[in-house]
Amino acid sequence: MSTKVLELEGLVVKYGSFTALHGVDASFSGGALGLLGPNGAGKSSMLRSILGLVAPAAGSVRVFGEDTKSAGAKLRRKIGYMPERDCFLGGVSCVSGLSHFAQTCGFPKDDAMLRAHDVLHFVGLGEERYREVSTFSVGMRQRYKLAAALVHDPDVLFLDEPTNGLDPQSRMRMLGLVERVSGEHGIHLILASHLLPDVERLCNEVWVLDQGKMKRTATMEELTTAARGAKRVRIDREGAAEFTRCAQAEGMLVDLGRNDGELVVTHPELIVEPENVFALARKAGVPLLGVKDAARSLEDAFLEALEGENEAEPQPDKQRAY
Amino acid sequence: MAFRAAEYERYSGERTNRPSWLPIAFGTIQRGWKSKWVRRVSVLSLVLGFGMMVMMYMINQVVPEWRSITEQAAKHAGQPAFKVDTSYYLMLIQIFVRPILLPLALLFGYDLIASDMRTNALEAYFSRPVTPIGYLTGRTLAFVSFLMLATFGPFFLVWLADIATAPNDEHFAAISHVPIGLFFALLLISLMISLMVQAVTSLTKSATWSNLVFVVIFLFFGVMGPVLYEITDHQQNMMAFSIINVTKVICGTFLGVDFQANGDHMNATPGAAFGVAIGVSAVSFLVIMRGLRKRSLV
Repeated sequence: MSTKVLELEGLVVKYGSFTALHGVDASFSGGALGLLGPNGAGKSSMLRSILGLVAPAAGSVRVFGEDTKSAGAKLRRKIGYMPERDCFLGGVSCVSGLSHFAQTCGFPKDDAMLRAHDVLHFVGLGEERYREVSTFSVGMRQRYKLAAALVHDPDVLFLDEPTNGLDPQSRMRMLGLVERVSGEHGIHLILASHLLPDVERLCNEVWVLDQGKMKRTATMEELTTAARGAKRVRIDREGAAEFTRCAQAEGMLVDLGRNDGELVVTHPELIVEPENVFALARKAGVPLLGVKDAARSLEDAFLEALEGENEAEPQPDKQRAY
Repeated sequence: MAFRAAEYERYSGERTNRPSWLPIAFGTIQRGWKSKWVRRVSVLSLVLGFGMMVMMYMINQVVPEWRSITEQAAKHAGQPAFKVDTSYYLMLIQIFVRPILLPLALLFGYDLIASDMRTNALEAYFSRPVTPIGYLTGRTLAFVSFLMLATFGPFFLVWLADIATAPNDEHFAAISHVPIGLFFALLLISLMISLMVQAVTSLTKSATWSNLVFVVIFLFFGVMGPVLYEITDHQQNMMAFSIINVTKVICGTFLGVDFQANGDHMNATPGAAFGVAIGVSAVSFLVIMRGLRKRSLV
């Protein structure tokens, strides 16, 4: 059995009387994991507790099968952490600072300097490597932090909001860099972000956190693929009731879609084919404006996960329509 | 150098098992040496020691009997006899402590931890295999090494010159314990000063405020010690308020100088001086660790 990259058991993190994480249980086998959640959900607290920067009030954290309490220093050699806040050595050049950080992880001096040059070239800061980080722009600082996280060649990379404050072009560049590191070099990735497109692009597994609680753990495929064979149907609003009646007569279920005039048609046992939808529209005498597979966006899945525990309170665009 | 593609590569070399505080110590020394004024003061101190060494050698070459001549001259002038003994070394070391060790400590350490706190570098350290105690060890080791280099270094050169030009074995016997005594005295003083400077900077997180606090500690309390001594009918322990006097008493104790016999009463007792040094070091250590643990609980 292969060792899991990360295992959390009843993890509780408290800041004074405020509880940031309420007994989180989850495990991550490897690949790229996205920690999703609104601001203040507990994503950064989870990363920081895994690193040992915050002491868990209860529970345990295991990285590569080893408890972070007993093997913290050893494990942190395998972890690259890119914090949300700026984080650099003042008064030294960018490359000297990175070389120094690599040395604290056991790199010989010459190798550390060479490695610092390499990672700065990789993130596109090769020409700026002798400047002090304090003179960098926001985008350059983000890339510097990525370089700092990679300089000691970690086996798992923790990224906390890596695209914060970046313009669209820089954001795509940053995501491209992370994608290359994760995809081509087998470095496991744990990405905390509230930017869903970033997670959707990079991750194959998602943990959804809200108010310090784990709302859902699933693969990206599970989250974004709707019920088997479901179809998203756009019809004229006035014919919606008749269309729904005909569909229900055929044993199908109809939900309201996110957009106006959109219905999601599913069957508990069968795959809903486009031909079935066309037949229903003919039967109901309703003009059909569009049919497509009802694969959900990560945003849909994320909002559903957050709303999961509040099902008793009806959500206007999610309650069963008819 | 071969062209290197801008592509990420896994590291295939060997990693060392050396403790993480070692690169921190070396990094701190490099950082300190980059400061123009730290370089100036350190070099000035070493040059001063070297100059005194050369001067003693040259005087000894020109006037081999200079020691007895100076003694007789002082006697004729009705002054206490001048001797190169432990009291002379105590006077000499005070030259290095006051204008060199204290300013150097401020120049070197005022922004050491405060800078790391401002730039959030502590988070970068503690997300790596660096513990707060390792971090503090590395920083303090470098700090103390610098202070020792600038104080014990030149002093040792003078002692070597003195030994090399010693008129007889008796002189060597009288001062043979001096380097060991002063090494430990300066080690304790440097440790106290370096921890205190780091503790203050970790509290103020500002170079300006740190320096203002040191002005109060060194100057205000330096004046308050003698004032309290006088108004409390010569309570010796009141002199322990003065850090300068504490350093003098510590050095004197390690050198075996008897202040009372020399008529120098205005000093703290050795117990009070050592108590202040150890107490300040311990409190500073706790303050720093508290500040570091707030940012890391590893």
